Amino acid sequence: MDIFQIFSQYRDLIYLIIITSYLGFEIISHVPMILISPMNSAVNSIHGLIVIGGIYVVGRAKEDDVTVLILGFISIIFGIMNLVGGSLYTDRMLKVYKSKEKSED
Amino acid sequence: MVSSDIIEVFYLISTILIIIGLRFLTRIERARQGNLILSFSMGLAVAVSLIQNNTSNLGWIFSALLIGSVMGILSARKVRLTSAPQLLAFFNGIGGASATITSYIAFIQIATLENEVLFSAKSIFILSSIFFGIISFSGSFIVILKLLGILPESGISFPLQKLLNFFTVISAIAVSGFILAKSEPDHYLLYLLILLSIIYGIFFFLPIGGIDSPIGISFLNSYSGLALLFSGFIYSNQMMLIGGLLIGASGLILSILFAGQSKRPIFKVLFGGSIYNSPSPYYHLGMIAKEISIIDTAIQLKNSKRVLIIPGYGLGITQTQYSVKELEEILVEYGVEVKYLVHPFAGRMPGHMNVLLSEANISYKNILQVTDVNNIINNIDLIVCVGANDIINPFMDQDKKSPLFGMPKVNLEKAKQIIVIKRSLQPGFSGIENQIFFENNTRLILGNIKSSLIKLISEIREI
Repeated sequence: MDIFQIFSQYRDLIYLIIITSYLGFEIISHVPMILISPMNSAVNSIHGLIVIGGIYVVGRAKEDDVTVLILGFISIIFGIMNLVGGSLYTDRMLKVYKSKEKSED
Repeated sequence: MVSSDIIEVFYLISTILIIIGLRFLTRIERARQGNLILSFSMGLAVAVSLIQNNTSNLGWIFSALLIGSVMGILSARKVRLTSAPQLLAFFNGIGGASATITSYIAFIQIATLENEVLFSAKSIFILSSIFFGIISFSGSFIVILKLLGILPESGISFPLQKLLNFFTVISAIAVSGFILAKSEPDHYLLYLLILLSIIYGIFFFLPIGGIDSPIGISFLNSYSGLALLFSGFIYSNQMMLIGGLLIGASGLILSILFAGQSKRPIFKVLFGGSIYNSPSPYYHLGMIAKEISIIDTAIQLKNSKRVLIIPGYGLGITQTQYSVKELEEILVEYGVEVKYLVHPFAGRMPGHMNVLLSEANISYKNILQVTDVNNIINNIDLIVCVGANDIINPFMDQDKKSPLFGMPKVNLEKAKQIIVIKRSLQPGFSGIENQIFFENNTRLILGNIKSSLIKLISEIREI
C-alpha cells in the first residue's frame, strides 16, 4: 500500500480532519479571557466520549471473557466519570458568573 | 432500517449540538446554556451508542455507567473551585487511561490472516491511541503532584533532557515498528511501548514550571484529545473522531494561543525549566523591604480615590476572595473606586483567577486586563497586591534567561504606591526574587493573608 493509495482510501477522513481542526480553532480562538477556564473544563469533558469505545468493547465481548469485561468495565467507569464530572464542574464554574449577574439586575 | 442507521443520524445531531454548545461557551451570557447543550449532546451520543446491534453484557455496561456517573457527580460537587486545575488534570488522566484500556483490548483482539503481519492502518491507530492515552495519564499524574506541592512546582530539568525526550519518541516509534512487523500481537513489545510512553509523559511535563501550569493543562487536553481521535479511528466511530479532532486541535490551540498571547516562547515552556539560580542582588544593593502597619494601610486606602487590587495564587490557596470582596464593599461605601487586575498567569490554569473572584460575587465588569491597567496606571492612587509575586514582577522582561521572560508585564515601576499583602518574602514559584518589594514606593504586610485582610477591614470600619 503506497502513500497515494492511503490518501485516496482515507480521502474523506483527511478532509474531515482539516475542516474540523479549523472549526475547533475558529470556535476556541474567540473565547474571552474570563471564559477560558470554563472552556478548558468543557473541552476536557468532551474527552469523556471515549466511553463509547468502552461500551463498544464490552458490548461485543464474549460472556466468559473476563479479562475484556473487567478492563472494559474500568474503561467505561473512567470515561463516563470524565464526561459527567467534567460537565457538572463546568456548570459549577459558570454558575459563579450567573449568580452575580442576577444580583446586579 | 437498522439501528446503526439511527445511530448515525443521532451522531450527526450530537455533532451539530456540540458545535453550537462550544460556540455559546464563548459568550458570557450564553455560556451556561452552551455547557448544557454540550452535556446533553454528549449524553445523547452515549445513549444511542447503547442501541448498537447485538450489544450484550448490558448488566456490565449499565453498572459501570452508574458507578462512573456517581463518582463524577461526587467529585464535581465536592472539589473546591480553587482546586479546579487538579480536578481537570485528574479528569484528563482518567480519560487518557480509559482510551488506553480500550485500545489495549483492541490490540489483543487484532486478528491477522495467515502469513500476514500486523501492519495496517488500524494497528497504527491502536498503537497511537495507547501512546497518547498514556502520555495524558502519566502527564496528569505529574501535573497533579506538582499542583499538590508533592513535587517541586518549579520546572525540573536535567542535562540532556531534550536528547532523552527525542530518544524516547524515536524508541517508541521503533518499538511500534517491531510490533507491526510481527504476525501476532506481541505483548512484551507492547509493554515496552507502554513503558516508553510513560517515560515520555513524565519527562514532557516535569520541566513545565508552576507558573506555566496553565499551558501544561492545555497540553494535557490536547493529548487526551489525540487519544480520543485515534480511538475514533479504531472503531470508525464518527462521534469519537469529531470530539477528538475538536479538542485535540483546540487544546493545542488553547495552549499555543495562551503562550502566544503572553509572548511566552512555547519551546521554552516545554523544554525550558532551565535551573535558574536567582541570586539575591537586592540585599547586596542595600535595598531593604519596608513594612507598613495595618492601621496606616487602612488610612491610605480610605484616602485613595482609585484602588486597584491584584490577586495572585496566594489568594486562591488561602480562599480569601470573600475577604477581598468585603474589602471592596467597604471601600466603595467610602466612595473609593475599586478595580481588579487579573493577570493571565494568576492561578494555576488559564482564567482560574476570574472564576475564583466571581465565586465571591466580584463583578467581571470590574476586572481589568494588563493592557487596560498599563494605560491608566498613573491615575491609580494605590495598588494592593494580595498573595501575588511572580505576576507582579515588573522586571521580568529584562533578563532573557529568566523563567518569567515573555509574560505580560504590568508597569508597576510607574505606580504611585503599592502595598503587598503576602505570607512571606520568599521568592515565587519561579524561584526569582522580586525587586518590586524593595522599591521605595512599596510597602509590605507580611503574615497570614486572611487574618491581615480581616484586621484591615475592621480597622477601616473603626477609623
